[in-house]
Amino acid sequence: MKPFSIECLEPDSGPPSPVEVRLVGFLDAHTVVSFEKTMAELQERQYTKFIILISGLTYISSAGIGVLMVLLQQLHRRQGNMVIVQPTEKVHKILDLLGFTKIFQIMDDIDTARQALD
Amino acid sequence: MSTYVPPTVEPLRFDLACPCEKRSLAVLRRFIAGVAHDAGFTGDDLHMIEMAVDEACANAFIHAYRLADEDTERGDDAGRRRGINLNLELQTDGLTIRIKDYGTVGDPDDLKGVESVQDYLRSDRERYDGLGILIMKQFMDEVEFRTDPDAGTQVTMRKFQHKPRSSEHPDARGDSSRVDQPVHSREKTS
Repeated sequence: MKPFSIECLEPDSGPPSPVEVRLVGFLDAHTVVSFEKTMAELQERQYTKFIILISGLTYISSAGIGVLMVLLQQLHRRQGNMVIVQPTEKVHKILDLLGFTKIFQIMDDIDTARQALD
Repeated sequence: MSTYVPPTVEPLRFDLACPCEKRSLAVLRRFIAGVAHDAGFTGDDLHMIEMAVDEACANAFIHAYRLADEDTERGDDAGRRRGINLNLELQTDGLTIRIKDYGTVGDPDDLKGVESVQDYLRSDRERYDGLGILIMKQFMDEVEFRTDPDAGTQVTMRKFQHKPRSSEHPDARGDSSRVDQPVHSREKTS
């Protein structure tokens, strides 16, 4: 079981170019705290376009879904957006069973995600 | 000619005392996933059991014990020290999971979850919460809540092997709840 980690890859040009956020491990009621803080920090640096890469995420709870929804709402309010990239089969299935694949933009690769955010 | 009647198999029971710490959720998930797998559950059923238990335990930590985050814990210290109890029964036809907390319930009006994913999405929210109980109801075949305001809440969930389900894949339009027989219902979700 991989521990939770967040890696942020900021573009050389800074905002409004999108920032990549790579999540590894699990996003549950415990780890969402650090995720929320990191997302707030990125928004304070004026990023409004987020690519959330979750190929390394093995689990997401309702708390994780909730913080992603809040992030989406916050970005939309600032005329920004976010795209989720490469969910694992398990995570994708959970999102699909609950109906969130109709809410979140989910892409297979980062390049497609960048195009969606242009 | 005599008829063979197989002996009754007693359920296999486990009792686990869990500390009231959100960092324990990952350990609990691995434990329940292992038990559910040995009980014969695989694939989507396994994931759903894992998630339902995670939601129930997180619910207890956050709402019964007011565990906000590790820096600002508050509320029911006496109850929190007792943690939660996770009881598992592996039966021939499925799995029964009981999660018991010893926390106190605050304002019952605050303990309302969402009725459907559409309800969750429709509301103008600053925080998106209230999904956990809906997940329990949709992912498990039976869910029951029993709350005693002075003694805590027990959530009992059952997942049956090969039980036909009325709706296999709930959609964003929401679906009917599973069996739910609250004595007093705690409807707050994580």
